[in-house]
Amino acid sequence: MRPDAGITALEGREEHRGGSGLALRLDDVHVRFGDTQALRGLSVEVGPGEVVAVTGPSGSGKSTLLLCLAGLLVPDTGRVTVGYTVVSSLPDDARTRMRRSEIGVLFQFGELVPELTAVENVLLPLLFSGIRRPVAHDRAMAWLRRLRLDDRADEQVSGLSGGEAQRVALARALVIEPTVLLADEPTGALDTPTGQLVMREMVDTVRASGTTAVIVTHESRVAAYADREIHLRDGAVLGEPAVGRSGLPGSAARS
Amino acid sequence: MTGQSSSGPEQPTLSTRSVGVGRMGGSGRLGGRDAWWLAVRGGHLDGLRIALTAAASSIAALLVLVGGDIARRPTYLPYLPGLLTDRGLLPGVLLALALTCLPALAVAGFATRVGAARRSARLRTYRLSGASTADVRRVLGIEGALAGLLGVVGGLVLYAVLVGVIAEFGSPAPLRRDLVGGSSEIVGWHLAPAVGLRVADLLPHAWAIAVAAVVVPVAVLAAAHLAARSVDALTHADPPSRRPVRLAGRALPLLLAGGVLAVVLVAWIADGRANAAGLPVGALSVVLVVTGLLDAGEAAASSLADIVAPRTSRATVLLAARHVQATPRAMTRSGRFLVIACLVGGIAAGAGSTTLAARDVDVEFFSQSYALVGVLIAIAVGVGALALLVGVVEVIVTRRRLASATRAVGAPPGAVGRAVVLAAIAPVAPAVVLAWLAGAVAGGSSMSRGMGSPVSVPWGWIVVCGLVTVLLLALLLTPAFVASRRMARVTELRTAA
Repeated sequence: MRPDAGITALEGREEHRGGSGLALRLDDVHVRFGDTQALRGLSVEVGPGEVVAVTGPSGSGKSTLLLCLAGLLVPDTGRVTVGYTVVSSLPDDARTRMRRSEIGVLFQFGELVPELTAVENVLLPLLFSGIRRPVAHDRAMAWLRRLRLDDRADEQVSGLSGGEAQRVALARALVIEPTVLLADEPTGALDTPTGQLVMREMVDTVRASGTTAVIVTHESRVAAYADREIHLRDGAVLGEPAVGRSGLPGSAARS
Repeated sequence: MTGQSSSGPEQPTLSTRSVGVGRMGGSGRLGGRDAWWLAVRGGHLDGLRIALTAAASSIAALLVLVGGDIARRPTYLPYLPGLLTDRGLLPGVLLALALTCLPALAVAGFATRVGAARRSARLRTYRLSGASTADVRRVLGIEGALAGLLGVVGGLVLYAVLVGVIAEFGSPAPLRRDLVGGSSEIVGWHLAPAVGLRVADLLPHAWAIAVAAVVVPVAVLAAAHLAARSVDALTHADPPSRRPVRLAGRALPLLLAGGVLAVVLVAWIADGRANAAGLPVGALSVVLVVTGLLDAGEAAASSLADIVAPRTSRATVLLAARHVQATPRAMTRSGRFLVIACLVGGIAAGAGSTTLAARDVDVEFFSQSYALVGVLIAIAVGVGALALLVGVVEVIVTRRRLASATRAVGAPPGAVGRAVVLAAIAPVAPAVVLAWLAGAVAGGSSMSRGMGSPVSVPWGWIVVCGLVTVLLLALLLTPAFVASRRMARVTELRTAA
């Protein structure tokens, strides 16, 4: 694989074009931060319902890729498409609306609002969408029940364990029933058993709902839960290892 | 690029310049140029802190320059023509200007703490890179001195603008009505052209410049020094606990205690005993009443938040309500100056109205005096509102990470800023209105007892003052809200808090 600019991950994945359509697509995306070229001509396609891990060393552009997909960062050049919408050409408020309905985002440190209870954190995106409190509360509770956190619903964030807080953040990302879930190092702040629990919950949930997921990670253990791995180096795709490496939890789950 | 700064995450970095022992040279001490570089290196937040500190210092410097002018030319004043004609009022006006400088300098002191947590992280990095506590203090001192000097320059610019505006448009002057016996009373205001304003009048007095150039930076440096005491890179103290404080359980007792205290003290002042006890007791009474009013405001806002938070369908209101519950004192601390200014303003309005309603008083002298007091109160209210603005900016800065996270989950830009502004106004606005009312009643009653005349409280005027103050707050906090829209930096979420 060539680490230079313009290398794509499209080769061999033409089956995702047309037909059922693509969930996500990046075309020749360039992003520069000052003197640093974070993404150089990156092109990636992700099919509906696919779970993709984005791996690579620190500074390879993984998180920048995720921010582009979330519409939180507009590339200097290139195109980012989510479903049939070209996110990169939308104005900021339209991208914000899109995050309320189509894109769930999960961060490494959860990023819950500390003063709110667990259920209030989960229902917050629904309130931003203009949904009435009782309806939002019911939906948030349903997600907490699904993640076996309903007994912690009225707990302040400070009273939750790291794993619980991350699962609440997962519920907050999924409560809008997004077509795409974007997770940035979702287990990076957790110990191994808790991280595995969160990953299992996350992957089971997105698979059950047919949600497309892109998981940025540097842990091979986490990447193994994915259908496919995209490895970045210096802002470009380095290669795509074979699907489901034997002996890792992902292959076991898929088999 | 939109949606995110093209310069990437704002992180303190030492990669382009060493701060280690190598930079200390043979003396083992951070060089002046390096300390300067480190002081201004921090990025947007440090720029914001310096700008706010300089803005508050500018007001203090302006007051010093205007005071110098008034002392130099008491007979000719472009500021308030026809108002300061009585030489006997001059010392009082100068003292009041000096006193008004104090809250402005205190606001500058508050401003030196904006973004303190992030600055602490940066200074910790310096310490880990080999800087001594003395070096870190030096960096902080240079930052404070820079802000103070910028404040002096800003004060000179404000002075030039003020005199320029007066030269162009004129200045407020009282409309008088002649009374029987040769005296007159002020019945209104109009814009009087600045006749005879010379080029030399555009320049402040050299002594005033010298005083401003010394007093303001020294005061800001002292404030920066005090602020440095809370920097954990110096003290190795643990960062403050983030455990939320819930007021729900003590809301009612606090409300009652604050209210009762305020009523008792107002009655006590009104009874005239404060006059006998002198200025210290009077000042203490004001402080206690303000504390009572703020406690009552906090408790009322917290109780309201208890009711609203579980029910509201508006995300911003939910965030504001929970923020008020978690940190009830975050805003009232910086709203204290404003409430003091409003209380004193109310006292002056009540006392003035009652005095002028009495028979056998020198209407011309008193109307002139109370008009001057009114001008100073207006300045003090402006400074108090600035203090609250600094408090709001500080909270917005500390909640920047939260703003980034909520943006990522679909919140509109500025949602967190709007919540902070709402949480700031909720406890302070009732305290402000109550301060005007309580002050007017206390001032009117006290003066009535002293002069043996009936109490005259200008209710309409007081209500207008209260509403104008709240409106001023809303106007002043708007820039903070607008700035908060640009505050979110999602890349920050990749690092631990």
